[in-house]
Amino acid sequence: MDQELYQIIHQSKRGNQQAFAELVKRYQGPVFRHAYAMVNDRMEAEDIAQEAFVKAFYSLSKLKNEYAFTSWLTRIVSNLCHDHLKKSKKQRTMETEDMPQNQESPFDQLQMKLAIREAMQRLTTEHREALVLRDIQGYSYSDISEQLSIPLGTVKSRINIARKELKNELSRGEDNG
Amino acid sequence: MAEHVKDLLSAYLDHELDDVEQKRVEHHLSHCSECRQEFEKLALLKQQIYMAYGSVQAPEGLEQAVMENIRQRQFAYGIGKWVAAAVAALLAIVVVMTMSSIVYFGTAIVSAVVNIGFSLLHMIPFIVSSIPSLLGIVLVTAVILIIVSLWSLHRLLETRAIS
Repeated sequence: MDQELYQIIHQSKRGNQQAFAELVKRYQGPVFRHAYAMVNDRMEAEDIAQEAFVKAFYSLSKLKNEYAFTSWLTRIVSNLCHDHLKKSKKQRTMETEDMPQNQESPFDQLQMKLAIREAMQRLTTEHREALVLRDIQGYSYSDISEQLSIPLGTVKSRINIARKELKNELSRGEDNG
Repeated sequence: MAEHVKDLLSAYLDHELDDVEQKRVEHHLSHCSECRQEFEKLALLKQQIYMAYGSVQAPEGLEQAVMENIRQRQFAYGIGKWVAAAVAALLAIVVVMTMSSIVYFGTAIVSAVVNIGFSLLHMIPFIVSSIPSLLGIVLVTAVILIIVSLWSLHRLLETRAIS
């Protein structure tokens, strides 16, 4: 963590709204992506992201170590996603309008993204979360272990199984298609 | 051929193996095409997962929405604090007023009782002087009552001794 970010977190902890707005600007991308990959709905992901930041603002004073901010924020998002998924157990369908409408994007690349997102939604919440934190957010196994409060060995096996499951889901999709 | 290392490939891909396991996997991959193929599939999958979500951007105005939400909550909290303070002040006034009226009425009643008591005390000499035989009657009644009480007490003690 750079010194500038440390200062921003420190000022935000003291209730400085301008500093916190800067934090939101820096973290909105990862937070939204995390929520979106988990719930697969832009509106719901936006609600979760907003709630996560508001919650973070009001409990930031309790954060003891500024360097643990990223981990701490990820845990807030993770918990909100879990709560949200528990509440809405409805069958999720793919949101095609969320796909980038880039004309330059090759068709097969777009298809691949669709297939991955569809397959991700078929994984269990725990397996999906493990892949979101590792492959989308890029956290190390020890970071994930801390964020989810699970042993390192569990993180390792969870990611391993999640990848296998995802591979199976994708090949099942190919067979059906 | 050494045992396949498929279960270690995921952690190997993430550089999360210890040195011994890392070397074991590297050595195995150098001569096992089946595990190498598996590893390449995993590496591609990892890349595809990132690509599927890497382009997802936060919606426009998320930052403003968050800050607006915080400002509204703080405003509501501020209003709430003022309302709570006003209600507390109002309650305090009501309590003080109620207490003062209770104290006022209480004092009035006590002073009335004391006044009546004093008036009665002042009336006693007049009553005694207006009825000359009253003092004698009271004294005789008192003596009779004392005698009856002593007799009753004596009987009571006797009964206990017998039992």
